[in-house]
Amino acid sequence: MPILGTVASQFSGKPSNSFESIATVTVGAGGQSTITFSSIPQTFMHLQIRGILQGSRPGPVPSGYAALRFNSDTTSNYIDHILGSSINDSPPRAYAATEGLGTFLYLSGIPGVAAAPFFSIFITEILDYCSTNKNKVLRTVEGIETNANTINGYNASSVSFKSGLWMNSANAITSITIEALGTSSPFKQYSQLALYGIKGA
Amino acid sequence: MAAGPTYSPIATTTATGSSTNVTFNSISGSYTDLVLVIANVTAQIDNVGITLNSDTGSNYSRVILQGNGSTASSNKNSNQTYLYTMYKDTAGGDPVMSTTQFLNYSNSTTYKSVFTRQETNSSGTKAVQAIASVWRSTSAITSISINSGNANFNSGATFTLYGIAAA
Repeated sequence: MPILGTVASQFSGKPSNSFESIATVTVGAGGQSTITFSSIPQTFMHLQIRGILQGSRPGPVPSGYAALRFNSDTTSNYIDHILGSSINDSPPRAYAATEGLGTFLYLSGIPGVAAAPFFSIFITEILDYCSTNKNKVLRTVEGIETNANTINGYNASSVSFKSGLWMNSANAITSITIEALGTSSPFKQYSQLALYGIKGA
Repeated sequence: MAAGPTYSPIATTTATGSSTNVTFNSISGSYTDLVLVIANVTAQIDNVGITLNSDTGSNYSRVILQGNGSTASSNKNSNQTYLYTMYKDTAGGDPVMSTTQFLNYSNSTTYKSVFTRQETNSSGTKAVQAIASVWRSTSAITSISINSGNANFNSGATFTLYGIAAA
């Protein structure tokens, strides 16, 4: 099971049949504030979302965040933990933080529309999403890299690991909604999200 | 709704101990993402870098989150001449590995966003790193060249390129 490719070398030379594409959304010229994967098949063990995102706020500084919700749940059932970089401090440092109960999970930072086409990158894995007796957990790796561009001395580049919890044990995940928050909305053209399913044995 | 299996090996190269470079050429544009897995590197190497489409200009940059076993830190490097994918191993002998993800590599409109995870755990160097990088080019990636800098890749080091096709 080639989660993030970290064990994929074990399968070198053997075609994998446990990783399947489910759906892809590429944002068109008009932008898109919300992207939803609905009617997610319940035939996999885990899900993976891979994406690149750009927001609407001018400049290379972060437009804000892309938020993730499951099954249209907008109540305070989500918790995040993050280990990330803070490169605008002197010297640059690593930091850890917790987002308490909130109405969404932070998925990824998104750079604004600069003169150059910088996009954030993220990969999220949602484990055992079909379970009807466990809270749902996910993990994300994400980053923004905008070279030396700054606004007011601030550079948007960052990289982080995140873990997330959706406190719902009774329901399988059947839909995933990803929303551009605040001034980041809408996601700009060429942003792309791809949903994959990973089978169990 | 699912479109069928994907995550396919494209090519694998096993080093023979006689070269500082491994290159994947003529990469098909038929996938959505590429994943490069480098494993079993035991040589006493300097930082390992990647250049794309033979571009050796200062068109790469990166931000790094790292730990060395006792301290976590971050760093940022702009206007670099390569993508950084593996930390130097000053001792050699213990395997070093990295996984690099190239998302949406074949489009001709966005700069290319890259994510790398790598680990080095030898008597000389201990590091676990996450690296977000960008190649400031809107060209589709058609070749990936991995360069060890100062020493040959050891015999048995493996370089495998995978393709992932979205629906």
